[in-house]
Amino acid sequence: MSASDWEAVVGVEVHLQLATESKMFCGCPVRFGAPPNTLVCPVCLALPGALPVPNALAIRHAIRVALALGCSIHRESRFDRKNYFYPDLPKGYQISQFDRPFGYDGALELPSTSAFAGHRIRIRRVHLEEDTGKLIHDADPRQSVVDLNRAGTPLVEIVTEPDLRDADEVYDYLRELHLTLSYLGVSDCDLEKGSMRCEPNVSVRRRGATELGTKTEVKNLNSFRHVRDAMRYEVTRQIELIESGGSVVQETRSWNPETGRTAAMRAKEEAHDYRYFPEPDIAPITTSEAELDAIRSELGESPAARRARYLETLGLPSEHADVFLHDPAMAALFDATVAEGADAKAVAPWIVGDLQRERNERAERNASTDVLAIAPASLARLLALVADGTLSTALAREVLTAVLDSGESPDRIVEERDLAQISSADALTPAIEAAIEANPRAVEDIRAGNDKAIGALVGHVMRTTKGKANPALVNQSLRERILGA
Amino acid sequence: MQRTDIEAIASLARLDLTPEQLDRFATQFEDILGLFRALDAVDTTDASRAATTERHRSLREDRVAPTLPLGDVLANNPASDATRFLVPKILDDRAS
Ligand SMILES: [Zn+2]
Repeated sequence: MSASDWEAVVGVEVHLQLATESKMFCGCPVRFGAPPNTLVCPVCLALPGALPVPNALAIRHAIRVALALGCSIHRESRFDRKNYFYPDLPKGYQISQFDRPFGYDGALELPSTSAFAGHRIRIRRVHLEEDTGKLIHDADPRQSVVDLNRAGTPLVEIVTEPDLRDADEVYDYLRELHLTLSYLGVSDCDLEKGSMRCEPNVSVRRRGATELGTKTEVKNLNSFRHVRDAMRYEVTRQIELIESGGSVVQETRSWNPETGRTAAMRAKEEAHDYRYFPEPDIAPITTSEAELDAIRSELGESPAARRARYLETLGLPSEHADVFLHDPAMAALFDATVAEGADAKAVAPWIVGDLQRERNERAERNASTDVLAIAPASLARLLALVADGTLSTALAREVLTAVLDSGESPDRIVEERDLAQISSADALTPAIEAAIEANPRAVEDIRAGNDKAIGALVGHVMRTTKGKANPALVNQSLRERILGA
Repeated sequence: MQRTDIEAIASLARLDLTPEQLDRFATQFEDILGLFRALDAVDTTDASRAATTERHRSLREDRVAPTLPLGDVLANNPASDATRFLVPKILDDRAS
């Protein structure tokens, strides 16, 4: 059999660390990089008698994530204990959610810019749980060390149905999910810091088969590219294993980016008997319709809605739309400038091109100016001056730099520097005549049919007018004089 | 409750039980489950689970509270390196 006789079946679990001040069930600060075991208290240390009290903001964040992913919300949700022994889990169980998660039955649609546009990846559940501590394997071959600062940090887990079939599709799903989550303001979504962790469940089956194959779960993936590579490797490994007469073992495997392979971690069989039962120390969490409405009203525009508005309603090219989708500050300036009456397609290249260049230049010389703080009305006015012929594009760039440096209005700068374009033929006559007189060869060439020779004459006029002449008008006037047309 | 069930639960709880203990626990578990079966027979269709717990929302605002001094954190710990807990190496964790 060849690889094309097989199909991959993949579901993805994503853990998202929430940006709260304090932990999920106690008041310890949530902070990255603090000295070991300094952010702990009796609750997250699991000292006898300590009781967990859920963080209201973490719950609002979890519901916000669930709503953004189109989930239904359990109006009465519940925490459960997931029991297992590991040194990074002081209580011997993790407080998680089993059959009453905050969100269920959602979906995320892959964007029009994806090769899998329109695929709806179903979201099985969105639940809230606490993170474990950190187990560090130092040089000592017999001992590991434990830092419990991270223990009890709120995590949202987002689980898909096994709807994904291709490594690139998984990659596109994760990118769209990351974008969607980053709009919610509930997490810094930083993969390298481990704020967002992705674990695909990978299995294969013969094309046309309906039952699922045995799956493996891959961990230690700190970029979307690693997820894609690990999935490709795992699919090939499983197909080869089955074709050579073996069978896939249900297990957790770790990705090694250096070797480009996965390796077995711990076998799951008995570890997977988590004996979930309701957390008796926490009352069920009820959410009223009014509370849901309040969270819904704070959601703001989703990336999908914004993408549709930019591409379809405003007709932006996808490279401009894409920059705005990933740069909220630029998008805000763009929207505000359009709201000032500027033409969307004309504004976009100024922000993506010229302002970005100004931003880079200022960053290089450590200038503190925030170029995106330019008044949207000023930017709109600058574009209007270009549109009505007052400024050439080149002079408009000069005005833009001056506006950013001084904070003055474009009109004021045009007036101060006497930059308005010469757009009347009469005013240009002296400069046109001087150019013709100074370049007899070029004039001959033009009469002989060499159209390119006009460049020298246009250049002459632009120099004598210090760049203020309207180039189109100069061109037209020169032709009229020389060719009489 | 079979003896094998008790063995499985004991192994998940990291408990070594003698054959006599396994037999005794099997009987005791069966007695306890019998009591729950009696409770299960009660008709509770109209009683929601929440009705048995406090109705008020026992949540906390997202505010930072004092943490424990490191000395107290490590006080009852059998092995530490002055800032961290030391534990036996996890042998079946072949990765990383
Ligand atoms: Zn704590």
